[in-house]
Amino acid sequence: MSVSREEVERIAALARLDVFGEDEPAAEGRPSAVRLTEELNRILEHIATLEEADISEIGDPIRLPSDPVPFRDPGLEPDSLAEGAPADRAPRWRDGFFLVPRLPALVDDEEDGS
Amino acid sequence: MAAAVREGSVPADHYLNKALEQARAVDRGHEGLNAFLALAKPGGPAPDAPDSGSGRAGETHPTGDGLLAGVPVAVKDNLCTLDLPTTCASRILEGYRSPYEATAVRRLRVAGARLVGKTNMDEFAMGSSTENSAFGPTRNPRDRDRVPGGSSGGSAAAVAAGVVPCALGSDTGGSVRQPAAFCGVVGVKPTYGRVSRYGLVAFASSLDQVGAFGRSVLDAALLLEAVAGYDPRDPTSVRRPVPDLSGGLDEGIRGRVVGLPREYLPDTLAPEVRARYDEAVERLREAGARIREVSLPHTRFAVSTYYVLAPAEASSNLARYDGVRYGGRASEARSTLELYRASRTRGFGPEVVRRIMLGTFGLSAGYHDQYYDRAQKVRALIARDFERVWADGVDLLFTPTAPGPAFRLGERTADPVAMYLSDVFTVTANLAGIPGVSVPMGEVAGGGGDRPPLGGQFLAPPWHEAPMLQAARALEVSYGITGEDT
Repeated sequence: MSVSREEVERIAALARLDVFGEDEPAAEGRPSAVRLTEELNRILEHIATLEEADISEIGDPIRLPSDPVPFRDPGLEPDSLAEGAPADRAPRWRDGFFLVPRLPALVDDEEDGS
Repeated sequence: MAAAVREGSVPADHYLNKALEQARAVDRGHEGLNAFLALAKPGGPAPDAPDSGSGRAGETHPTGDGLLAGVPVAVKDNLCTLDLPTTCASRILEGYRSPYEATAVRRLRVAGARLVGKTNMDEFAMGSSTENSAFGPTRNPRDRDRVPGGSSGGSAAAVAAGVVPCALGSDTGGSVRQPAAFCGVVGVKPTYGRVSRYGLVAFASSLDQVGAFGRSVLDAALLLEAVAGYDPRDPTSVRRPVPDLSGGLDEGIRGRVVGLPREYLPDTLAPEVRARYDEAVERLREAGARIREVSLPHTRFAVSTYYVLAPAEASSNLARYDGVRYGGRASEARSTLELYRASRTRGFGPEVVRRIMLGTFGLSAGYHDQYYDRAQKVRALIARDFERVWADGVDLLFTPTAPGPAFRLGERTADPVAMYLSDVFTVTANLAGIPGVSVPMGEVAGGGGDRPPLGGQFLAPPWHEAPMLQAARALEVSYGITGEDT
């Protein structure tokens, strides 16, 4: 199994990451789609050994030692910030909420629905 | 240390201030260790009053008895602390100050420990060398040209350099045990569910577990004892009593059946590593262990299984870093989607990007069955291998912790698969949820006249940390490590 560069670009869009293609200039912080394709294919080549495992007898997924996971106590309160967040933890704070800068308007983006 | 502080013969800040002095001396400048990302102020925040040690509602095993009174402890930078930033060594969390603290950190405070600083790590705990930190790599105190291992390399280096007697880390695929082996100290990963993950920044939630480093098995056991126990804030923590891990350490290994899994001793293992391992087995035999060869046939699938499941969980857990609620934000973005993409691309380093991509791929439509579902089933096979060995009367397993000693800085950064294979002997414990400990197992020739240390790993059935640590203690005693008093 291997992935193509186009597929890597599609996965990057799903993962909300920017990559640059062959015909684009390298930009600081943006990984190269070509290099990522090579790296992912090398990793997938190694992972392909999983196909040799006989999983025919496995029905349920693994149960960890902590299973069964109990439900959380409904009376449990989150750590309270009621006394106010110290100024060094959040620039702005009101009525128990952190205030963050307004988001840019959500615009239609063809990749958004991918 | 703790006894002297409890008795009042040493001031409560004494060891903290000494540790801070030592940290400043070894950490900075040319060839400094770079083990710490943030240091506490001298004197630090006052520890909790003894009567506040009763813990929060619903918790078990609060240790308000001064178990670690005055003991300086370093904490990996993916555990939330109130007094120091929590960055996970990532640009995306640079300067982040958590509004709450991890249960493990709070329990340390309640036990009287003093937080020295936050330690360097691979970004979001993704790596095996601490070279993936956005704030520069940590160097190995035993040889500064070598990596300290990872991802909890800063904690391992802080202990190995003698800054602190013990430190907290986290272990998702070997991130406590492998750096412990590389730095010549002890590292314990407890059973999944033994220590609360509340306030541990999530990487792969079904594999992550808080772990403890120590100069000796005793130091690591004391630290683990202080942080272990049920916490209603982490539904995967388990309501079981915490055994006296430090008290019975010298009970030894006589009569215990120790299995040597042949899959952990491949023909490709370096002869010198094999020689040190065989010597360690002989020491166990002399200490009264009954040695038996065993097989865990699905071990060969472990690294592949891990590198499907851990990135899949990471891709989901790290979706929350979008430039809105935490850390850096790409302020020039013109749409919400652009904001997410630009902030994430700028904030994450190359290894984190690689794993998010791998995880997103393995979970995507068309590939989910082939990768994620299949890996979950192979994980069950790996866990079943261990269950069969325990059912067959084996008390513990003994393996090398890693295939070789610490490698040189930069040696594996260009080859992700070579780096991933550093975890080949440690990922199985996380996949099966069982406890493991790495303990020093001699040294090998390093090529440059140096003698890098090796680690031997004991693995045990779930909740069997006590006999596992007793075995580790028996081995370290055979090497003449007595363990100073913490």
